[in-house]
Amino acid sequence: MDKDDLKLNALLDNYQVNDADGDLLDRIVNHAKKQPTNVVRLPLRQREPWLKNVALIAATAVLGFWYGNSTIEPVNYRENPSATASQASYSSNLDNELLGPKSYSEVML
Amino acid sequence: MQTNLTDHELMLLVAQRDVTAYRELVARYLNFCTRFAERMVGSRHDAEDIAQEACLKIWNEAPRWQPKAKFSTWLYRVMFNSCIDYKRKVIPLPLADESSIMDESLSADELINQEQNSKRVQQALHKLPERQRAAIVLSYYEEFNNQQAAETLDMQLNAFQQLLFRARQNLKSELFQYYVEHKNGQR
Repeated sequence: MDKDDLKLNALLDNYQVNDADGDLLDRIVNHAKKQPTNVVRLPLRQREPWLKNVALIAATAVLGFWYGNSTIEPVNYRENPSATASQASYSSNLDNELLGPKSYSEVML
Repeated sequence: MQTNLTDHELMLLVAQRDVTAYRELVARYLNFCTRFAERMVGSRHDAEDIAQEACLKIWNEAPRWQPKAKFSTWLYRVMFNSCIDYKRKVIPLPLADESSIMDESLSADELINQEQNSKRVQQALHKLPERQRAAIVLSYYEEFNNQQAAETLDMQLNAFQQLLFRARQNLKSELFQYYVEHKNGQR
């Protein structure tokens, strides 16, 4: 340790602070006693046991809905798309059935 | 009440909400906590608040306590982090000097001199970065060995030694420069 270090230590010695007093210890212990007893945070699965069941039911519902939707045929599903393409230039069969032929020539056809 | 129980054994009792064990454990470390916090934040009042918060953490964390590190090391780290958090939250006020201890055997001139030196050291300490200040407080005032201080600041031993060296260099330049200027001003 050189001369400067000793000089620094001598200066540092000037700055002293007091120890804690007894009142502070009492205050801390009293404060701790007033802490809520449920301050210990348990893991989520122990705090909310119902949450697991709700999550399982929700996941099953979502999966069921998705699976159901993916396997049902759409309302406008067509067996043979090429057949409808050929009819596109004419009125649709459904129109003919509901409204009847538009002209005499169609009746002849 | 003084017991021969270790910190770990007391902590297990605190986990079962044993107030006597808690009082014993806090009493062991309260002086360190207040002294360390006061030198870190520069105010006795704030230091007591920080020490109280840290000691409440002992109570609250006890049920989950796992002896991965020594209890004392854990508490010193809690104290250091609490001081850092406090400094970030609170706008710094002028440093208080209400708690500096004066040696009653000294003459009036010497007392004034000591008080001035104390203030000067306090101001110089507070100009240091937080980790450097903590290194000085732990190493010089609390007389921790380097290994213990390095663990408290969560550093490697070599890194702590460098930090302490830089801290002492900064303090020397800050304090010695003042005294050189002070002497020149008096002439």
